[in-house]
Amino acid sequence: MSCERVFNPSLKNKPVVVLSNNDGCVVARSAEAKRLGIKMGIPYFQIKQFEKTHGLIALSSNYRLYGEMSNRVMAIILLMLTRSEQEIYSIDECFVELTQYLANYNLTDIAFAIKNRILKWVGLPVCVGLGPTKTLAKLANHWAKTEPKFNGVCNWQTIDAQERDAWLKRTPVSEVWGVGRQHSKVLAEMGIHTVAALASTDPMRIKKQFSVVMARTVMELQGVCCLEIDNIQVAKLQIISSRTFGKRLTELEQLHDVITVYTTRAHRKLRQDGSVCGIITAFIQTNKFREQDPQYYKSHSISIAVATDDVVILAHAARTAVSHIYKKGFDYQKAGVILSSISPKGAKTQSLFDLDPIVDSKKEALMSTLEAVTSRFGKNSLGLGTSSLTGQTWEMTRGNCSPDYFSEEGLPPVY
Amino acid sequence: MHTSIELTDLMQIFIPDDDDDAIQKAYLSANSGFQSPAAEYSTTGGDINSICVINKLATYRMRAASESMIHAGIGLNDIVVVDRSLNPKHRSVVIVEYNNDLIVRRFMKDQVGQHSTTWLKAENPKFISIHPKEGDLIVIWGVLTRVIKNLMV
Repeated sequence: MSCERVFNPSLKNKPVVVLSNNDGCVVARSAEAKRLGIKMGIPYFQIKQFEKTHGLIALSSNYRLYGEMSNRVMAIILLMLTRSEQEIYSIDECFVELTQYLANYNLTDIAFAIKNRILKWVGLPVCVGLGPTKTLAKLANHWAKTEPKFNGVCNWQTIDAQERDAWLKRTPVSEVWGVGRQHSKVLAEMGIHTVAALASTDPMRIKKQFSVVMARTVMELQGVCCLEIDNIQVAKLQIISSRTFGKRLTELEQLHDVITVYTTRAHRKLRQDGSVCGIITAFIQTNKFREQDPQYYKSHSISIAVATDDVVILAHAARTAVSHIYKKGFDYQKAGVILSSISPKGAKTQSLFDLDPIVDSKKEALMSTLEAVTSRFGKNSLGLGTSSLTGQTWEMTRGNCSPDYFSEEGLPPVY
Repeated sequence: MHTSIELTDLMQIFIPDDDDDAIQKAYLSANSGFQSPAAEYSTTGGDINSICVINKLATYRMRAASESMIHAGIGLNDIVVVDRSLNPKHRSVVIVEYNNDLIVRRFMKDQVGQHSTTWLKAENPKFISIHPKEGDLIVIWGVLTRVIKNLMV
């Protein structure tokens, strides 16, 4: 929402929502949209009428825009620290280690400096939460967002003790990082409804009832640091790439095309991690929300003789898997691939089936070229077979996307 | 209330870019057997970015959609480079939010003794200048640093 408003001030003071992939449901709402009673996650078709009655504006997700703005925000924060002190947690959140500055600086002042710089350089309002543990910092961040008196920065250490107690008793336990809806229900049955209640529970009791992870959360709430800043990119154990189609597909050839695209996407992440994959699973499914349609969901896994990062092999295996599970007569709405049995490249043991090292190095050269071309000309510029051509019927519907403000064609106009 | 702190005393300011000459030179000298007499000198062919972009993270490109600033040298469809980290000075060309649009004007700060008047001048008599009144809030989006014109035929 904020990203869209930076380049389009006409969106201010109006009810605006941003929609998920395929314009399915609401993922962001402006304050005015919230006031109309539009809830998070509500399907778009349920609120479409507000466009005529209240001038609601519904935008499709502009990933290019949000990604670029996110990169800038993270880089601005990084400018102020060293790389080992920042952990990027999601597209719009990061943790920052400030302990080393405690002796010489007022951390609240640092937080305001960061917040103000981001607002100036990027135009995005951010909130900062400070605390002795990650869990408490996240809690402080929640308070910074919801209590105007903090002006966007909340420091756990400096809140008046009595006020802090009052807030802890008022904040529902579901707001704690790591406590989801399911956990909240179980905690409620144990008589724990507020953060204060959870913080005063014996971690051992929580460990018995839930897990060691939840016990750590309680200890973090009590001020004991269990989670370090982790900026080491850990290789993923499983890579999934899947999407819902814009239109329902029925033919095997179409499913082959989409599965090749998803394999290419997953392969990119595999290469980024420097890993190889030993098992590829493909799945196809019909629209489970249209109960009147016949339903079909099947997946098939193929084990690869020698763990590989060769996109040609992976794509071929994925297509074979789809051929194995495809049944005519169904309207497929979603498909995907899962790469598993992942290990670091170069760690593979010798096998009778190992490829000739000359062929290996040619394939490596092919892959490097593919990567170089796609990184320079874009992800869809070069791919396998017909899978990369745009205009395919299964591409995501994004009816009302704001322009790519960072591209030549989409530069914001100034009058 | 919070105090604003000088960020320079906290953190490093110089971040070499990927195409920084220093990195290029180090790479070349590590990889070539032959030491070219030109090795001391820049081999990246000069970089337009370093002329146009001072603070990459706060710099944005926009397109002039009107001739409101024609006499400042900004023509229709020219690309303007805007830096959000700069503060406007007298005669800076700025982007301003006005009536739900982003508009380009020259920031004017007329000093008469102790009193100063700030207004936003259009560099084209056909376009309106903005004279904010006491208490009006004018949001400066950023300061223009360069204009890029396409001269190709």
